[in-house]
Amino acid sequence: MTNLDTPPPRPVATRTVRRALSWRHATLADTIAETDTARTLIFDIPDWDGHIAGQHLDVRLTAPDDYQATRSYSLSSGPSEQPQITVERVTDGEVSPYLVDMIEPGDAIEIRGPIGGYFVWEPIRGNPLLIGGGSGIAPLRSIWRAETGTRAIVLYSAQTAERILFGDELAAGTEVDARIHLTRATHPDYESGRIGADDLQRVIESAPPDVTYVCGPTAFVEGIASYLVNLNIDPRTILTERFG
Amino acid sequence: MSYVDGNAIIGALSLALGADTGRATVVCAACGHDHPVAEAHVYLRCPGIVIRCPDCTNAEIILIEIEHRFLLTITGVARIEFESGTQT
Repeated sequence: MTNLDTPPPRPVATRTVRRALSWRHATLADTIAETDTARTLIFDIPDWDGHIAGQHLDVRLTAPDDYQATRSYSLSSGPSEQPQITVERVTDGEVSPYLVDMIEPGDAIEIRGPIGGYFVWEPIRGNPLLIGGGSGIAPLRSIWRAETGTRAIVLYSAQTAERILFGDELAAGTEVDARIHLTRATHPDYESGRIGADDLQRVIESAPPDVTYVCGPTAFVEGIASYLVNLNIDPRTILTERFG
Repeated sequence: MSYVDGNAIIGALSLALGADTGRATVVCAACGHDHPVAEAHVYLRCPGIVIRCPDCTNAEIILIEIEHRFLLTITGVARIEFESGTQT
């Protein structure tokens, strides 16, 4: 049983904070085309010391006219793996089209991180239930890659089968027990329609979680969180990350 | 305008305050709600970043980061609590 009053993870010394949270240059080492609209970017980052599952990077692009745009992207790599982010192309986005379609291995980019201490998982928190909508699955991958012990249960809501991220890994089921719902199409391998209260209830009753992570678009996160509270999950054990 | 949450601005806020604010909590000056910064409603596309109380939507913090300067307005916060990082 997890003690909710357990002290927080070890605080980071101030000098380390300034170094980790200052902008520095990383080099794109490799890419993986996840879907037609999403790509994983694997970085070489100087002084990288690993990260806590659930943390993210801030990424900053500077245009020739010195206009800057900063965005946050969750690390989808496991805590001791080479750092990577998985980016979904947003229509008319300022940053995502560059990251998905243009940046190539060898290119430099400004990052800061790893960042985060709230939406994170460490073994002391106990068994996690992972619920993701769309690209919200990215930080959840970092958590299931961190797990030693039981397979993490993942509920994943995607629009179509073509938009499923990490599909092969989820299908293989070695580290993760995934239930995938499609909201805009049907497919024989997946559930049809949104994740509902009954889906959550079934999972909670079969494997009561110690802590629950909900990540994705704002409306998705708030809908799921309210279902969980209505199912008597302690709100202090529900951690949320809204992508907008 | 759609919002994200405080997870998105932890990096900038930590650099601005010189400490890891990942687990910071704030007390809203308007309604007294005590909540993690990570659960605030954050609007990224204003001139600057606006961080609002998830209960009463009061603007708690306005954060502008331009090159090497921060402009931080915190009049909507009664109290902010975070670790100093000096514990070994």
